[in-house]
Amino acid sequence: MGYFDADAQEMLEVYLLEARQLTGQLNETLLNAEKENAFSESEIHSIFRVMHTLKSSSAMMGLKDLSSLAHKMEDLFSYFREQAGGIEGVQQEMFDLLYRFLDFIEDEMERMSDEEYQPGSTESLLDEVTKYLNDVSREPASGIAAASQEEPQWAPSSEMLKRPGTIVRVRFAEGCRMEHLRAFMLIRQVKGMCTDLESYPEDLEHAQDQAEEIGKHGIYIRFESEQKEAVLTALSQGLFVESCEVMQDKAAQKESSPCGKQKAPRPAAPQGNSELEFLNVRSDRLDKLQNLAREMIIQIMTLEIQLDENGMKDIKEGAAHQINRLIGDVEHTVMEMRMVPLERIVPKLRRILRDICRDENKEVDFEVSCGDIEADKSVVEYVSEALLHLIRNAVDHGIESPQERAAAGKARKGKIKFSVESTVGEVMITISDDGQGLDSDKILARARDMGLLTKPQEEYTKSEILNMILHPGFTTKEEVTEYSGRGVGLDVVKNVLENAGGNLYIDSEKGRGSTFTLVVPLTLATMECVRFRVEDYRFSLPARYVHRFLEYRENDPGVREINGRTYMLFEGRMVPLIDLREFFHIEGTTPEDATIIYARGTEKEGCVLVDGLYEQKRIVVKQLPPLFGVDFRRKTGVSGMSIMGTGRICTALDLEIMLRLYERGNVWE
Amino acid sequence: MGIDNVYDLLCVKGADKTFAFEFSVVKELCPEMQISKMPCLPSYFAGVCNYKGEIVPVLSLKEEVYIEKRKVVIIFAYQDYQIGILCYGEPYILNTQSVQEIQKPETEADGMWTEKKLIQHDGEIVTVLDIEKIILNLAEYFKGEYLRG
Repeated sequence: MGYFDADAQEMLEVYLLEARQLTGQLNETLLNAEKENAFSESEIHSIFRVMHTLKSSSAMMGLKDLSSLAHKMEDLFSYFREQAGGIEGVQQEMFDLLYRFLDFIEDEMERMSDEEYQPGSTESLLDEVTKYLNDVSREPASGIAAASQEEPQWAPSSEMLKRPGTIVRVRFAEGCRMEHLRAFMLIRQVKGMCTDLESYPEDLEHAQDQAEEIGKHGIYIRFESEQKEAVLTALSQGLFVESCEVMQDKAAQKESSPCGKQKAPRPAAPQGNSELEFLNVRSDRLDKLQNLAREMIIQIMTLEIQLDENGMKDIKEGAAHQINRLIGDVEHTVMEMRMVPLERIVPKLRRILRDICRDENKEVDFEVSCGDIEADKSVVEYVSEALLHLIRNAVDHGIESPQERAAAGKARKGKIKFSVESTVGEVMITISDDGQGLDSDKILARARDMGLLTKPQEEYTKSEILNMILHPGFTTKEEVTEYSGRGVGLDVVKNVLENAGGNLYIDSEKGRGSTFTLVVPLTLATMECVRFRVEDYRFSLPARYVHRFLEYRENDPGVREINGRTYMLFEGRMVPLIDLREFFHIEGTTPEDATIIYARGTEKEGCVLVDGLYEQKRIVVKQLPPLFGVDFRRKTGVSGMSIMGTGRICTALDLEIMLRLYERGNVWE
Repeated sequence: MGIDNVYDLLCVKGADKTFAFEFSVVKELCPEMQISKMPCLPSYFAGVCNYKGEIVPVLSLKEEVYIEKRKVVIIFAYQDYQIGILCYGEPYILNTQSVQEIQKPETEADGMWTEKKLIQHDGEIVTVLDIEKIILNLAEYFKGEYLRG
């Protein structure tokens, strides 16, 4: 039995869903705030609410320590809330503390579903937050709070402070007399430029008895205006105005997006009215719905064939056709339900960029241009993982230190640009940097050391050289850092993309920067596959691995047995020839018109002998049934299954695993 | 001895045996389900089928009746797993009110087809298969013994 009792266990899923939404919200708020080095009033409120909700949800789940930690954070932001207005010039220590809190919670959430879960210790974080709260509450207040403390009787009302707009304090020159009227005239002067205007004290025209106080302490004016600068100029240049100090500046809340444009509504955490518009739906239920929709398509195809065979053309073209169209709409709608905006990857990317820049003392501007483009949820998840690696690479390998950049005549701050475009059925995602670029000579030298060159150096094109960096274990870095040097990052990117049915393209210029372009399908992990048969069995291989088709008859003379394995002469070298009949112990004899497929993966190449081919098609390769376990693929070379239009099931093969198994010995030996 | 809790069982006749399944694990009966061959499966698998868009492994009782009968795949679900069992002939329902449980010999379970109990109905012995155990044993097998080394 795990940490949670039966009641809490039932609520765990909902708790995790809510907590993830809250931490996502917190992450985005922190990134924005850190950029400005300030917390706006709305950001403080937002963080307060997050902590408040986390506190109570965690308490409900029996996570007492986590609840206490959230409570302490809530206290901290409650204190900030009471100060009124935002906080300018926030210390880095504060952001670091909040990020550590965020990381702690995310780590806890990752582990909570494990049976052996035990809550982590919050002691050190709690001490830090407590200390920080004690320190800040001892500091002198600033802005209006400071002014209010200095002159407790002369301060605008809390209602005025809560309203949006700019609050200025205007002081008049000593001895100017009739200060209340001067203030009144000043207000009249700017009134026409403002959509909203109020002052403290109010009713200045008749505030003669307060003239002395106004002379001593000035007046507070709150205004909202499209011509803010003009208003400030008019105020500061007013007659006998000695100073005009901005005490608070709260813009009315506007929807703004990391993409720099008005963002379209998105299915984010429900808040207020948007609870009516969006629902959180479990993705496995969407998967099930999609399966059912596809199944309906298959069944309707079968129905149409049977109607044809039975001469029921009128039904086929009538009701059956209508049903077919409706089912097509259902499938399309389900596909759309799974679409999520690519923009949602951005906070994660910004966070990783922030962390790596801090650790490596580099400065980078992150530009985002992704619009409203959406892709299937699983594709976005795959791409997100690949992009994290690319961002790390861009900073670690690409962007130089500020000093190096200055010496090279570049701006101290590097630039990384993330952009998304969509084409027909595909989305193109680009990560480009203006760093040092890839050194082709260095890559070639490293490839030579690793024994990767298969032809003379001079015959390699630029694209082929750059693609060498995708080879597993390839790195030109001398030392391993936390982020790179092990030669696994780009290899992972390539594999991740291929699993999503996508591709990676590299362009680079030494000294100027690199661009990595990911092209992935918009919809589910579909893959272009070459399909073929052996007896009653149907198979497929990813089309990107298949390079040539050969006739078995013609190539038979080039086949040899070497050390108990069959090889075939291909382009001047002996490559493994896998007879799928023998490999999988399928009964029957190879037909005369059999075909040989030459395929080349990332590491290995080989030929596969099959009975016949079908047309190449983009298919959905589904995972193997859970019953077969996680090792089935590794043990057999079978990577998945696809359902054909006829309802028949096709076995997807993993070329690399098959070739490895073949070299070791047949599956059944 | 009579059965204490009276309930229904789903039964299918084989060539030599009659098998029964508890409804708690039966998901659906799928007549004339297309079964596709899949390599690398042990011999007691008939292949895999497409059940509502999901790939489900199908076991064969190897009790095919040689008279042409309709084939039916019974889909079972237990925990995260689904399996199909390929049967021939029409399944029928047996109410345990009219059956007698037979005391099984005290021997270790042999083979894949774990039996829950033996019952007698109208002079016939019916084997009630323990689908939950069969599924879990298969899952363990694929995790461990299958193609080990």
